Order: sequence, then C-alpha cells, then structure tokens
Amino acid sequence: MSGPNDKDPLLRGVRQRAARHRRWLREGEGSTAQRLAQIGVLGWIIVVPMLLGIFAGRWLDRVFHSGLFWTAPLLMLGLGLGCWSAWKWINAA
Amino acid sequence: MRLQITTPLSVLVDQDGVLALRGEDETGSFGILPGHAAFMTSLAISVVSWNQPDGARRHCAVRRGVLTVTDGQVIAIATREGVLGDDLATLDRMVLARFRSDLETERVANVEHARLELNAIRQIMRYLRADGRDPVRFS
Repeated sequence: MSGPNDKDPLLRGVRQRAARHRRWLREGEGSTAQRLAQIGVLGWIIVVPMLLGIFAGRWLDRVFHSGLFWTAPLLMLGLGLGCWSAWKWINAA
Repeated sequence: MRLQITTPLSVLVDQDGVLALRGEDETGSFGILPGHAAFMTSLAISVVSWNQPDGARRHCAVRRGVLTVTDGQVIAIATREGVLGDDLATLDRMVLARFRSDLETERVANVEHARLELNAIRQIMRYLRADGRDPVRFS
C-alpha cells in the first residue's frame, strides 16, 4: 500500500513542508547576531593567519635586526593560508 | 476575504473571513492579504495555508491548480486534487488515507461496473429469447 504512494509528488511535497515547519518551530528565525557571526567567521578565517604572520615576522625581524625580511613573506604566507582555509570552509558549508 | 477551493467533483472550501493566505507557485511562496491586486497564478504541488478569523490555521494539500484573486476580496482555487487538514504535521497521513479510500472507491466502482455489464448481457439474452429467435450462444 505505502510502496508506490511514497513516490507520489503530493505526499512528498506535504512531508517536505511539514518537515520545514517542524524545523522552523524548533530553530526559529536565526538572530541577527547569529547571522553576523556566520558572515564574520569568513573574514576572521582570512585575517587571523595574516595577523599571526605579521606578529611572528615582526618578532623575528626584531630578533635578527633584518628590517622587513621576515614580516613580508610571513604576511603573504598567512594570506595564502587564510584564503585556502576560507575556501575549504565555504566548500564544507 | 472569501476563499473557495474546488476540485472537478466537489467544493472543498467555501468560507468567508479569511485573514491571510499563503500559497506556492513555480517561483516560490507568496502571501495574499485583503485588498490584493487582481492576481492569477498556477500553483505548484504544494500546501496552501490560511488564517481563519478565530486564529486557527488551516491547510490544504493541492495537486497543482489555478489561483485567482478578484477585487482583492475573493480567492478562488481550482485544483485537480485537494486534501484538507488542520495540522501540517498530520496532513501527510490524511493524504495517505485519501489515497487508500480512493483506491477502495475505485475497486467498488469496478465491481459495480462488472455487475452492470453482466446484468445488461443477461437482459439482452432474455430479450432475444422472448422474441422467439434463437438464443445467443456463448462458448
């Protein structure tokens, strides 16, 4: 009885909408802060490795008295790492 | 607003005082409030929901259909098949029950049809015999 009926588009449509409704009841509308956090994460994923690169580079340069020899490449490395992990994060989401 | 939902065989809903209605066509979900501009669209296989004056929300699963809004006060939906329900969570069960009863009706109709056919044949044979001609032979 339920075999062929399960493929009926009307039944599937109704079940899908019921599931959406249940989910809406359970989770409600995401708060603004939640949305901002979701958007913000992407920015931080890129920015944080760059900042880490700069700080590490500044420290190495201060230790070796080498001007910008370490800061610049580590900044670029951080940027590359950040973009790569952002890419992975987007693909996963 | 007045809402009418009709199928080829019956009027499912005909009620006044609908406060708001939500439907869905190919482009997505939309809402209708009193005073809406004249509107016509072809519904998807979806669920139409509306708010009654007493605050209750009713639903109707429709197998496609045409929705029209006239004068901003009358919503008419003509659909091939519609199943009414008060709760979205149990609407799928009502749809299933409808399928089952449709099948049952069809089965009964088939039996009746066969009986009618047999009766007709019997009648014809009786008529032919009474007429004095040779009875029709069936192998």
